[in-house]
Amino acid sequence: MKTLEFGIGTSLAKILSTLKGVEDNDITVIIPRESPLLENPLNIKILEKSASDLGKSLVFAEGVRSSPNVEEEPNLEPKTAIPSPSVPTNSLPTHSFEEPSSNVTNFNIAPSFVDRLLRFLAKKVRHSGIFLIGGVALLFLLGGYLFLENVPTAAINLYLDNQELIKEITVTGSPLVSEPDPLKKEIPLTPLTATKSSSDSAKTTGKKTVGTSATGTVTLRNYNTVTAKTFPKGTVIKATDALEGAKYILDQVVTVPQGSTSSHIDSSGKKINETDPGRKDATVTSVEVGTKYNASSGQTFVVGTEGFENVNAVASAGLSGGTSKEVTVVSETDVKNLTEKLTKQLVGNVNQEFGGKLSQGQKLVEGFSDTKVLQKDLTHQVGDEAELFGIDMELSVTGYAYNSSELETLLYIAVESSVPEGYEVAQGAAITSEVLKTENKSITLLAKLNGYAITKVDRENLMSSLKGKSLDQAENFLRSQSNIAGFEIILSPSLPGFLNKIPTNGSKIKIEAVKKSD
Amino acid sequence: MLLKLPSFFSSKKQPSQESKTSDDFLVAEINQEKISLGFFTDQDTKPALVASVTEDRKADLFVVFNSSLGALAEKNPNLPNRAIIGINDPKIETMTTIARLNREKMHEEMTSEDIERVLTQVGEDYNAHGKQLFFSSVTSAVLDGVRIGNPIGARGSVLELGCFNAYLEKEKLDLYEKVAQEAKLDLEKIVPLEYCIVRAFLDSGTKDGILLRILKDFTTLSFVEESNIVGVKTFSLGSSEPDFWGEGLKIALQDFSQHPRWPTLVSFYDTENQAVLEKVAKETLEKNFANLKEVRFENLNTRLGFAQFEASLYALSVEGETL
Repeated sequence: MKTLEFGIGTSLAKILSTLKGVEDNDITVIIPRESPLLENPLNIKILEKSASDLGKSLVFAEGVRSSPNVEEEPNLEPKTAIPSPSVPTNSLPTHSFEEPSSNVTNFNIAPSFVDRLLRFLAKKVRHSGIFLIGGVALLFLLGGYLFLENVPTAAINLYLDNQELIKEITVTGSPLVSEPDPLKKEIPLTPLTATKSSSDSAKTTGKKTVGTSATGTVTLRNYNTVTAKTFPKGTVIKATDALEGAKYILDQVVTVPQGSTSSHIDSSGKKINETDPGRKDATVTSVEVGTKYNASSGQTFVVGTEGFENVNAVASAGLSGGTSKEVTVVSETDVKNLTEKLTKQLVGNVNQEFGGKLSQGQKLVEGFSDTKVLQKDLTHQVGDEAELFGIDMELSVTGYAYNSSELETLLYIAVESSVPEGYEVAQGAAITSEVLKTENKSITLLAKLNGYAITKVDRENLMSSLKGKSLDQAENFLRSQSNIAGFEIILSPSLPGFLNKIPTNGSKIKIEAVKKSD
Repeated sequence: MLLKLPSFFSSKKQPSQESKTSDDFLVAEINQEKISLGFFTDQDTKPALVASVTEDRKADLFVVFNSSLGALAEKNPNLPNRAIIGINDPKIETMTTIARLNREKMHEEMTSEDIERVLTQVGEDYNAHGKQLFFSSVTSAVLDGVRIGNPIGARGSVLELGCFNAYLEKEKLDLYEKVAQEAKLDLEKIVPLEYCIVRAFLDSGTKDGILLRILKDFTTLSFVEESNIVGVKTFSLGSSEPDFWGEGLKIALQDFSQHPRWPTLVSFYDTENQAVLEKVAKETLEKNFANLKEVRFENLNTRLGFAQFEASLYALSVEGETL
């Protein structure tokens, strides 16, 4: 068995690395009880599992020494006094809560090469005054040359004849287009897709009446003395008089026997015929719920399509049990409104996310996106009784972006036909664009250029002609150019006499063509 | 979405009355390797960061804290006294419990006292092995089966509250209080840092994820599902040894292996060298966890627009809104 003893500040990575390098399979690990590693049982678990993966068995023992002099490197030699292997791995010692403080190391930095070089030069200088003077002069000349070559700049503003230039074009953007087409005035739209989910809840606003139907027994009466009458289950019977219009249905098939006729002579000697209707009791239930369908005894009813005088019914004991109340339910409008709210919120979140994903020059088309509901779960369905309901929705949103430089290119191509011969579009034209309309899979953009056409100037020729010229020479040259209406030369810094000239370094000359002010 | 509730839901520590004179406050993040401080001013919409510093813990906690405070004062001398300390400590024990409240008076509005009672009950019921409850918060609320934003004022019969509680030994809590005391700060709250980060993560519209903050030699992992913190793990491996770090990640995640639903998003924050660690994480997850499919990676700092160490400070500053 190998025993490894580690210092208080040994990292978990270092212990793992050491375990990997040990050939023995049974290892006792000693870690000082003050080690911050022991504060966290997960660290011990990592050690155990990693060792197990390596086919090794670990036994932990508490470190008895906590001296800062404990070596960071583990002692790989077997120890004679091995702590008891019966110490369970999960019975970690209780530790005080002193904050772990890392050792602060002071570094002694050796003299650098630069230090040594400077000391050498200083020594040489002390021994040679001539070397010093010559060196200083050489440095001065070299510095002067470098200064003149790199510091002075010339800004030359050319005032040119100009014409105002305004151009508007409508451009179609579509994800189906792969590259800009100046003839069709089309630019590609790049789709950006993201998936978001969210949930929200809202109060319900729908109303519904719920309750119980009125029920009871009625007696059906058949006045036909020839035939019995049979009424199927579900036959509608309608109340008369005060409850007129209230509907009930028969709960079962009912056959009402035919009535019978009898006759007798009254006191005046007339023969009187009397019909005694056939009778049959049946239970009925009101079609709708509510107290208003409860009926008092004696209430009469029309049965099915029979005439009242042929067949009717009477509730001899009345009908009861009808109740009703209004409850709040989830309405279709509730679902629609909450869905719209969630969709708007999710699309807003996605657009914000798209904003961060756009590359330089890309512009997101506001209000133009495809949304697809991937999942929509309702806590309650339409019509369910509830005060609150919620929707959990996952949405896939595809937004579209166009490249503003492609739009500008199309605009510059379109504007070329409006530029007079010998003129060109001046830099700095204001370009604006707005989405006119969005259609299925395409948008229409209005792009507008507002600038000036100025007389053409060959800047490269101009620059090579001006390089290294004195201020007077440069001014005379520019005055001789017929296509330049005026100019301004700004030299910086302002140097005395012969030094005041156009730099020979082309990168230090900036020629700007600006329109002549009115 | 986690709820923004009054301060007494968010911490057992009551704010001092003297510190109510200004809306400005300090936020301190103390983790195993660094101390970061931020000076926030509470604007109408959300707290704004005025100045911040971060310093490695190369010396005693008190020394580094005071030195950081001095550096912050150099940037802005008008530092406020009120402070929130966010801690990342391997000994913090956290527990998310769903508490179900059957309300007899279902037609009466829910009050803050009802919620506080539930939080207290849940917090005290848990056996935290002698540790002291120092932070509790409602993380989700479901009323009669409907997830709601804020239960206060709602009516219903069955309320289910997701309660997040954090516990730590009293001695450690005393230590952080002493740090604030010696720096002459009015300590308003001690907050578990990962809770605040998770809240920022959820507020950004995501509700499931494995959040990772990887320092040089330490890693903190938060497992978040359905807007609830399922668990927080810390281990002593970090970006300095990416190969060993993968082993630590595997073992830390194994505790969640029985969990039926795994997030597919792995979100790094305040992490250096993410590209290398992302590769290690991808290999580790693909090799060891069959239930984690089509994993995606992101940098939370980038998504939320925060600089390297500022995600934690901003996340903590949200606690300042309830002071």
